Amino acid sequence: MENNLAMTLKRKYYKEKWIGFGFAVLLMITFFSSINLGRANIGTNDVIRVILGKIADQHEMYAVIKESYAAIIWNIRIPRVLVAIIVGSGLAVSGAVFQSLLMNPLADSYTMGVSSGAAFGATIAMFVNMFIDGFHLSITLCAFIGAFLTLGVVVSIAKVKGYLSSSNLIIAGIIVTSILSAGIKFLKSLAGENVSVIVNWLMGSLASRSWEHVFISFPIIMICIIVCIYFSEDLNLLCLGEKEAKALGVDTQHTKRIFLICGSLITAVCVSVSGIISFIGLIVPHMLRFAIGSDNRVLIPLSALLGGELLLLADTATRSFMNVEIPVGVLTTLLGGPFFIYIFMTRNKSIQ
Amino acid sequence: MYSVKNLYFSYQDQKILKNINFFIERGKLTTIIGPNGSGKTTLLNLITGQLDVCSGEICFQNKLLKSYSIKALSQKTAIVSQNVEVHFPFTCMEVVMMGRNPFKSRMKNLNKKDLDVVLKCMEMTETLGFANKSITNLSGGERQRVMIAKALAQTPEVLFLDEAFSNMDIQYTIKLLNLLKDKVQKEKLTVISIMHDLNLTDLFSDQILALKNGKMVEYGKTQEVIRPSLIKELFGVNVRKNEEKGLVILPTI
Repeated sequence: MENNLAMTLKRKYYKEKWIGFGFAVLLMITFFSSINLGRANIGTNDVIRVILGKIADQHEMYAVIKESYAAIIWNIRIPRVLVAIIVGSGLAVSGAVFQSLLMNPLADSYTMGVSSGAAFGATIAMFVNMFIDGFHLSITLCAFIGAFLTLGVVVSIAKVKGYLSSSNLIIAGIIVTSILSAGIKFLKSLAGENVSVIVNWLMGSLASRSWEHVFISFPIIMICIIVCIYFSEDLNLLCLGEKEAKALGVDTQHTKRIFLICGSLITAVCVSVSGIISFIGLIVPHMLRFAIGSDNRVLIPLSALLGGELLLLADTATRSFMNVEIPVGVLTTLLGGPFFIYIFMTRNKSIQ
Repeated sequence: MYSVKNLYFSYQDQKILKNINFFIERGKLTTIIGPNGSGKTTLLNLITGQLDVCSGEICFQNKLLKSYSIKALSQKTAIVSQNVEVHFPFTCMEVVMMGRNPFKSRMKNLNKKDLDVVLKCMEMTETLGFANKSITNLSGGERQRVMIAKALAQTPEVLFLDEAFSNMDIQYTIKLLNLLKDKVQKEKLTVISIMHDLNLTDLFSDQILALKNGKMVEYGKTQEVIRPSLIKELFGVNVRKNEEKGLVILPTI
């Protein structure tokens, strides 16, 4: 029996490594084929030439290709694909982190109010840009500030005598979210016929994202994900509750703060570059929990890979296969929702 | 092992514990008894370091409890809390493996020795049978056995039990109490426990600490403390002592 269990454990570690490797390969393949796909029909050879030429800084390598094609590949498709991957990874990881941290399988970055804060900040920026001449606020920056102000407010509401409890955080998050959504609606109603700008942004889209967006999002999200992976075993213990975690040697207040900051930072960046893309943060960690269990040491890195993969697939589908480009946030929910119901129901049936 | 001096604790202007003094030596099974709301769990949370002391001092192994780091404390003491709810499908083995966390370095898997400790503790608590089952699918009593296995996997010098048997059937309660009693006698484990079943308390404890309204009413050897008069004073219930051994609860309406 004991030997059996030790073997099972070994096999599990082995399996996890292979799944990770598989996901990474899949992501690479999807990355290249996504660059290849699109309205403009550009051959695979040309894509490779442009990428290699740009990286090696050799203009001759892609001089034969039409300039507009090279621009489409390098300035439009690649940044968009990279933003899709990093935003998908970020959303999935922050979802996994918030679920464990708040001990609530239904939590994600939206529960904490952080994304509503980002959306509110972005709405204010768009509103100001519309109605005040000669004034230009950066949407990304405002979303970012909104997210962090909201986090500060939520945490200070939830704090009782210096301690943060999970249920207080959820309640504070829900209250602040509803206030902010009302604020967004108010601004929308004032915007009159320009309302479509705000509505489109809020729906969540990766269209026309540039290298600037890649440079903003990539380093911050990458660093946060690495920090989350480093502390992931403490997150496992926090899943049993703060008291248990402390009894098992975790400095809970400190660790909670680290995850709260990382999770919110990721969310703020994601929302500020792509608007509201829901469901990735909820669905990816859940799918993985069904498949490989709840161990955050595995769950977080795999969430990053699968989240990036799924959002990239969804975004490529919206821009390549449909006549009208629908916002990717809508597609993720339309496809993700029913799929989630499906796995949820099959899982519940298999348990009985 | 533990010495508590002039301990007071209040929460939002409410005095929960008043002037508690006692000393617990190594290798004893001590049970804290008292009516609901008498401050038992608060006292346990204070001596485990989960709560900060308001006034007075608690020493553990001749050093102030405060001077221990969270990690150092987790290598010496383990807690089985009341009703731990797990919302994520960790396997039972994963949960018991968490008990080795205080001794393991970050980003590493458990080594062979740690794994042996885990499996041994699961064998002792008879939880090997559901090692690969999700903790969310267990009954309350089974889950408590897994939590006890996890606490034992910490190889603690002191084990705290906060109503650790509340959902367990009588067979396993006695099995596990015997197991712990054995460890107390042979390995000098110190157990500090909160229990509501007075018959079992009487059968298994070396010493009793009785609390009422935040005050320590009595502290001493089980045979001397567990008297019908004390039970009457604490709970207002009539009991009589069995001729040979143990207590018999005889509720009167």
